[in-house]
Amino acid sequence: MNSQNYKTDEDEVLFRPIYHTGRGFYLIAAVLLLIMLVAGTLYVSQLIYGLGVTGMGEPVTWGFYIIDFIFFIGISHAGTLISAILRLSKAEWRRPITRMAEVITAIVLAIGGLHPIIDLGRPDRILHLVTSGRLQSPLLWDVFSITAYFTASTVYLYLPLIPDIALLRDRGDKHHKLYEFLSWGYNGSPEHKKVLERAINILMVMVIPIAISVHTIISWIFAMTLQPGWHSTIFGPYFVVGAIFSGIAALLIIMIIFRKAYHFENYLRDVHFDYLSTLLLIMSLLWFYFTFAEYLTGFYGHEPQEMRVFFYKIDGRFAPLFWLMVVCNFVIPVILLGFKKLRKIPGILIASFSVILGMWLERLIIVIPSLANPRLSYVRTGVYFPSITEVMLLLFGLAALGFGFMMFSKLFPLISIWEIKEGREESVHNVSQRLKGYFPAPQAMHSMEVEGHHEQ
Amino acid sequence: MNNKTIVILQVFSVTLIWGLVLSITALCIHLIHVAYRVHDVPDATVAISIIAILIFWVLGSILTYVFVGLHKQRG
Repeated sequence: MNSQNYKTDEDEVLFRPIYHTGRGFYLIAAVLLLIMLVAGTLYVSQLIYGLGVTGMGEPVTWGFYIIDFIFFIGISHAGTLISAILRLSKAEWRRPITRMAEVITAIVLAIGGLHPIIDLGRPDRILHLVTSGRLQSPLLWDVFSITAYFTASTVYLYLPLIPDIALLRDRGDKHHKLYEFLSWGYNGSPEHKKVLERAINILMVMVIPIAISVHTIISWIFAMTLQPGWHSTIFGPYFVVGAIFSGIAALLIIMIIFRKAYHFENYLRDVHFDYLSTLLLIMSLLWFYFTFAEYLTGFYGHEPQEMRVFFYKIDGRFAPLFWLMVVCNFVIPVILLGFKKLRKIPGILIASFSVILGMWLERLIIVIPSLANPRLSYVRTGVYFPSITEVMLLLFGLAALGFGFMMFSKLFPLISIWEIKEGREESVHNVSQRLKGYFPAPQAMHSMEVEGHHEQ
Repeated sequence: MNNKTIVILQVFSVTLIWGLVLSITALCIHLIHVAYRVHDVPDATVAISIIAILIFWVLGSILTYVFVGLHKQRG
């Protein structure tokens, strides 16, 4: 493509963030880097002084790190899972949002995967998993499933990125050699398109069970124990629903922020927010159903140790957090997304932030109360209060997500350009063909009518 | 950086993926060995290993298929 052509590219606005960097970008990047630097320094102090710098102790031996681990891995379901389902179902409105969703997955998986290592206190002990790990333990299943999901998600992000990398390579402006290296010689020929399409099709089928298995296995870390409040058969689907729920909220927040920052209003339109927020509303109702079912069965059994944890959450020390979680995950999203008048960008943004806070609280409410009230009756109720190190490492994760996303936007288009172009050229025809397949053909209807007359 | 260097780096990146795949396979085989040695539910270890190894081999194969496919058809 010569310089004349690309200057008049109808999707030029999608390339602009790569070539133009405003002052605001540097300012936000500096703030995020500062947060990460402070958190990094505090982590070094944890390495030196051990886990004594955290609020963890007996019997609450898991704290913010494990909560953040579940939370970040949950958000990762935004991406690949939603993107794969939308691709598989041939939802044409997916085209401008799949890339962002896939980037979220790759970044938060890397952040989330670090947290169990941070929680170890001595990261060198991770080597024990290699030398004498027990593969029948859900903890090791987690290591494998997250590694598989991270690998699959990265490949699933990379393959649909190749045609866009080739576009950037052909423009020849910036990082030319990097794009040359990453494009793997893609030239947009029908043969190349076929190879990529086939690989993406296999991956999108493969990535859905992997994504579901990841959060199911995380839930099994809890559910496989006999700890009150954890030993539940619905924990697997409950965690998966929560993960998709928080993932959609994170995707909506990122979409709204980057739409405003990079002027993507023409690509991320009201219809995308309308569809995704409807999905968020459905997930909110589903989350409420699962939460209700989980707590009702526990209450009905009335097992003494179970009830200790139950009342600790409902009207004990954790009651304010529990009810705030219900408000954030159910009340606010239902009010803001259930009424068309309120389901506008500001309402969707508030609902999404509310869900993110609510889902983080949900992870907190699952982890801490059960550990604070162990089955052994002679153990006194534990107390956990996070230290500044733990709070800063949570902020580190959030800052790393923002920073990672910003860095990605400086190298690659945040919206899949080739998919947009393909959509413009082929979608109308494809959808109309598909619509014809949904309904009986006029001839078939006519012959049915004729047959009906004969029978009469 | 000339084209030859870029191709070498591309081959190296695919080799890295296979390095990961083979490392995971080796780890699984080692853990099966450990499970047999200490009589610690080896059959479950074998079953889980088969699933893990299969997933990584498929992922490695998909990437290799794309790499070979794009390079073979290079005009």
